[in-house]
Amino acid sequence: MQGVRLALLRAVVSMAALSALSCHRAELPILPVGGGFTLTDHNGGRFELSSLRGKAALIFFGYTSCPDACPTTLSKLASVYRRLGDDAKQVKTLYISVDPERDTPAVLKADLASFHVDALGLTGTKPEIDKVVALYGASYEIIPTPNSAAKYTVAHSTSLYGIDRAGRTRILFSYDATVEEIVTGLRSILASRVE
Amino acid sequence: MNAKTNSIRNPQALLTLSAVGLLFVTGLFAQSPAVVAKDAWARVPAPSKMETAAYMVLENRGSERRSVVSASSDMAEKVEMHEMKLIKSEKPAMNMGKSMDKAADKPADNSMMAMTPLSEIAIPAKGKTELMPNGIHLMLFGLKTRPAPGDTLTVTLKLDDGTTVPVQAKVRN
Repeated sequence: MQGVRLALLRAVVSMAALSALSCHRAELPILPVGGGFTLTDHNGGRFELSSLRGKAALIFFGYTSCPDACPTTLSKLASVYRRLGDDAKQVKTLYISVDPERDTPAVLKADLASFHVDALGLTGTKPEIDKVVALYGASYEIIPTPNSAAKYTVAHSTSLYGIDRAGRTRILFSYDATVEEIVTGLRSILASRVE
Repeated sequence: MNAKTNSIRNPQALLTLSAVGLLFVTGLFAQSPAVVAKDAWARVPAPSKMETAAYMVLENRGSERRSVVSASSDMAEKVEMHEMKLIKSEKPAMNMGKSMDKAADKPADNSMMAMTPLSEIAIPAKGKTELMPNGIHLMLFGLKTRPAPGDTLTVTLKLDDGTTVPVQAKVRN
């Protein structure tokens, strides 16, 4: 039921994003997930979402030992940034690690540098991370894999949260959203009013 | 005159027998595997990691189902077979508040991408299995040197019939 509701919400949000692009007066809905939080950034400093005011953001949850899904999303975001052109300066990507044991700020910084994305890696204590995961309605689970050299794997949700200049969640992009859909959505977010 | 002395006295027969035997033995080992790996590639490893995923298309030209039962590489300590799958979180959505009504209007994403180790990768008879992002991949752990884009990683796949399949994976971003 939850899944159906989310799918419906996504469909509505995608339609809203498209209509916002064709008619600038239409406003994107403000979604009832997300909000302000404080974590540690990949330079070791404290980071608050509110410090981005004036910039839009893309938030997603992942971990740097992720074999497949996270590099796929980051590669896609590199294409999004290329397509955004001058607007790219107005968008910050926040990569929130759900594997604080392995993802130290230094590891996050090193691994994110290999993607052409204006991304800030964020980590924290497990309770700090869990609080943000709950705030955004995301999920993750640490799964032991004793027969693998990976030791454990982290299953995690893959939605991408489109955040406006005031820190509000305006679009939930699904994992299979195309570069085109994300670029269109971000342009709608950048065009939306901030009171 | 016994048979033994007879065969020794007839070197031509001995040579023929040996040649037949040799052909039989080489035939067993040189038999080309029914499975071939095509379009293989691997990701450039993340800067802090000495591990990476490799992808390819496995084509089975034979008339029997085959499966990859293990993989190895001289360039890595261990090669594993993994599959990425979407699973549902069994825990209640983390955003559930005290009131269910409150939770109802708050969307939760409890669909998660998870990695599962595989014990085999099946390739149907006269068919193919694609190893690609968001599906099955080979995971190379403990790379001995850091590969750069354009380099080639060599991997050997062992099939259930004992034959092996060489793989040359091009490294790219």
